[in-house]
Amino acid sequence: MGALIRWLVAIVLACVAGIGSALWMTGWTSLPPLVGLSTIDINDWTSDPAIGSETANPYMRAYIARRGLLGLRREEATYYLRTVDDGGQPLRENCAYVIEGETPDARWWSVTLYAGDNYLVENEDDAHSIDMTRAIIGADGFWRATIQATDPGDGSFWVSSRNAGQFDLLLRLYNAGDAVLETPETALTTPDILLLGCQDGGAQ
Amino acid sequence: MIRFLIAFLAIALSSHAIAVWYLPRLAMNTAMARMEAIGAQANTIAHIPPTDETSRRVVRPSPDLLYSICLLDLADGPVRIRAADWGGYLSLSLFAANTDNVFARNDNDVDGDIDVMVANSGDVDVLLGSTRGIAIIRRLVTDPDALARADEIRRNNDMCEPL
Repeated sequence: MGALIRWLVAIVLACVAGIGSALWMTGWTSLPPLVGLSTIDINDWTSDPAIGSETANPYMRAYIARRGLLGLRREEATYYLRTVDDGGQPLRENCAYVIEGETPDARWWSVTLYAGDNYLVENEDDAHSIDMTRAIIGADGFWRATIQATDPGDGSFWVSSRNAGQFDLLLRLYNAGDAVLETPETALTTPDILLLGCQDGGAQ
Repeated sequence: MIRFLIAFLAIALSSHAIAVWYLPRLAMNTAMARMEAIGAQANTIAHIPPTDETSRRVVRPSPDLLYSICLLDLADGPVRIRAADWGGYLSLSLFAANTDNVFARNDNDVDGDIDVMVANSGDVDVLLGSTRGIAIIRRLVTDPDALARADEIRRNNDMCEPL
């Protein structure tokens, strides 16, 4: 009887270890995942060409299923995720940022703000994203938007982080040019995210 | 003791591999169940309302895209899908039960509508690789006029039905 119980406990523990490690490694827990979008890293914008692809390895497929289900294959769209500002600090609701970038070689692009639960932030500001059709290109060739919890009211394009807590930004590139697809490290200039300040005074 | 450790490792590795294999399928099944919960039916086109902060059926939806979906069930044979041309960005993509995007085509690839026949076997345009899956039609709509036009066209002309 004692041996049987020991075996049952061992089997349960083995299953917990096996399933738990799978959940952790593929980002299905609240802990930082072992697997991530890290094949391509351009100034902290990370992506993986295997998104949506039949060549994706099982870990990447499980990771994407949790964080980017129904993502398109790279020929149609590529996705770059950014979780930190240019200073390397996590993006937070109580801070204000300016995101600025050049126009990428793609049929259409957008940058969308998502909360930690991977959905649009629960606010009614109707300011979840900036995209190619609404961005205004300045004389210097850059587009800009302010990311913060309240409308800056200064005429700048606003992306709202109200109720977001810690958040991330997803850059979508639809029908990107061949060079962007093949050699993104040199062909793609990703947007910068400049910290303006934080309400708690933690960063300036 | 060694036999005990070997058994522990074998079970842990096996359950790990099964979990990694199953998680994408679980995510797809969950997404499909959520879509069914709002009225989507197999092999029938369903037009999703414009994306906003209440859209919580699939992670990371784009607020700039208008989605129509079809839950594919190919158990009884091929299904025909038509994404109607509306003069702006349009794509049709097909996802197998393991989340693979096995097919994607946009309005630049074809003249007029995107029209395909999908099945799990046989001589068709697309082999899905699984009995169940999801078809998604995306249209880029970033202003109210485009939204109204795209919505009218999709409701009148998109299609998903068994042959």
